[in-house]
Amino acid sequence: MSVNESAAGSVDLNAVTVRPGRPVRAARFFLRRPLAVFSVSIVTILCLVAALAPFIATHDPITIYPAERLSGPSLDHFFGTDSLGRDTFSQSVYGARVSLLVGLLATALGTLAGTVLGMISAYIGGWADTLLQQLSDAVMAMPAIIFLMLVGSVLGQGMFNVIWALALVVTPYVSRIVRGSVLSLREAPYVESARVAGAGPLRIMAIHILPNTMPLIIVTASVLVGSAMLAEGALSFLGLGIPSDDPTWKVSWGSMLSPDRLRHIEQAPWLTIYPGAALTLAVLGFNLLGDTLRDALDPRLRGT
Amino acid sequence: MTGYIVRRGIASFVVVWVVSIIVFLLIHAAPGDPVLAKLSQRIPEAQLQALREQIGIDDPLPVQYLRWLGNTLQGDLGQSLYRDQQTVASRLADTFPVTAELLALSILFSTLVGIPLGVISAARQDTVLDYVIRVVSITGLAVPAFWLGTVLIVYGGLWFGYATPDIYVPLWEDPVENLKSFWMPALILGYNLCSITMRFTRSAVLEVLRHDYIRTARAKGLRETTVVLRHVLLNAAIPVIAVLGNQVVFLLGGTVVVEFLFHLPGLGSTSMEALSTRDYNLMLGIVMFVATLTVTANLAADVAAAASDPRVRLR
Repeated sequence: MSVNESAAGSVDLNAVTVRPGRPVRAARFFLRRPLAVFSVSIVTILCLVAALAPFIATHDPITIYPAERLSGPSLDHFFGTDSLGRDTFSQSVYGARVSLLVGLLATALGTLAGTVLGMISAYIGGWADTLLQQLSDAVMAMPAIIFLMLVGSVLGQGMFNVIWALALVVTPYVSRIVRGSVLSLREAPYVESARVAGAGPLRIMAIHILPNTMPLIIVTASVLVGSAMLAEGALSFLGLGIPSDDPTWKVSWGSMLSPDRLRHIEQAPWLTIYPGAALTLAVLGFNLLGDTLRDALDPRLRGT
Repeated sequence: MTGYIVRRGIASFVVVWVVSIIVFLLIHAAPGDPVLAKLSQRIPEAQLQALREQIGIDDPLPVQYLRWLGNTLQGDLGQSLYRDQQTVASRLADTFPVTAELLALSILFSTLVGIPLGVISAARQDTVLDYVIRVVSITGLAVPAFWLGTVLIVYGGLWFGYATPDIYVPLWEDPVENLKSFWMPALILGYNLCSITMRFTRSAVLEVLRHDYIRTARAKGLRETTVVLRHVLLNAAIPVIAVLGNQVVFLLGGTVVVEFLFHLPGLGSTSMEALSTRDYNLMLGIVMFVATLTVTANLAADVAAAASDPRVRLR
């Protein structure tokens, strides 16, 4: 189209339809996709609950109320209490904090590291590429949970250690995707012309390649947030992640479901429902957000 | 083709070797050691010192690694450090059948359910049925296996009085009792895998449906069922099978949680035991075994893809 316009020298004004403004296009995009609305709402609610946890929670999530242990859902305890009398509703609310922080921070760190390493790998090549590829292949040849268990045993328990360990798992996935994308982009005509014009590798990377890889990185990262949340949940469920009475972060949805906390579960089966349902919704929200972002950022990736 | 397989085979071998270095370093970097773990067994001090020397745990790390590597290359994975009189190989032989059965059942389930659902979803694209199938599969990717398992155990017992057997019985001793303890964990793992299978089948079928030869098949008057089953499904199946091979590493990860929850003595729950007892040899053995399984499955998937598509081979 741009070729026609410049070749003709003038544009037939009648043929040009007025393109609606950005807000209108955004609104149309969302209204056509109910799942997009759903995913954005879930992620927004999750962020609000995490940020406002102390105001939403009705009790302190780790205070023990022995007299009210294993009581059913009521006006005082919306989701009932566990075997020590801790308020399940407040625990579920604080769990959003841990899940969101772990998911976002681990993905952000891993994506940053993966992007840098992927670019180094693709652009420098040679032994640096071979070494990085071997390391990431090796990390990806182990089930994530086993690698997390091993790294966790070195770092110890606690939320930030889980985040570091998860970032290590995320890095190779991102670096591999970035590497592939950079390898194909560096052959693109516009990169070649930039090189001919005298641009150095750093400038080409920052101005020509990174912006074009960004959509792919963002889409990958949003799905990885969900996977990181699931992995943290599994780790805490196994008793290897965030302790169930952490003084700062209180509780993780995964540790709320760990078998030793559910010993008297026959008397209070409802305790199993809330943390898992919350985690499922949160992961669903981020996965669907990934789909939405893919549709919005890169039409070519649609339906893949 | 042979050249391709050999090249990829060597690369896989190198990957497994790098895994061994990473795991070795991580295990030794963690606080605590197998001898300290043995203290819980109330063994006298002098005996512990003898044990330290016997294991060679005070030697420099490179010496310990090379000794381990040398033994492993000769097929000897060493002794279990925590449980006396047990070799790592015998522990692997005891626990792998459990994990293998779990993997086989969940792959079977996800193939039998996921592929037909994917085909139906694609053939009826944008109908209510398509949406329902897609929602079920998107949910399958988000549901944590440990939660689904807990809920099934708790409410299965509460509402139906159903309990999975506590003791594992091998398949060849009592198939009925064995399947009683396996169907639920296999279903949970299978649901996760099924969602992936379904999504890939759906997009593969949609891709094939666009081709000219499908239009030709329809134009010559074939019934839609024949078109889908004979012309579409066979062509869509190859990429789907390749994808399945690459999912083995995720399945193996899932078995850790599921075996822990359902008290199944497989590789996953044994890796938890190895970690908590600081059984270096056992942990290395398990991770090496699992990594070998993973790269072999990936290799098989890639070879299948290369065999069906000459363009892949040249890359």
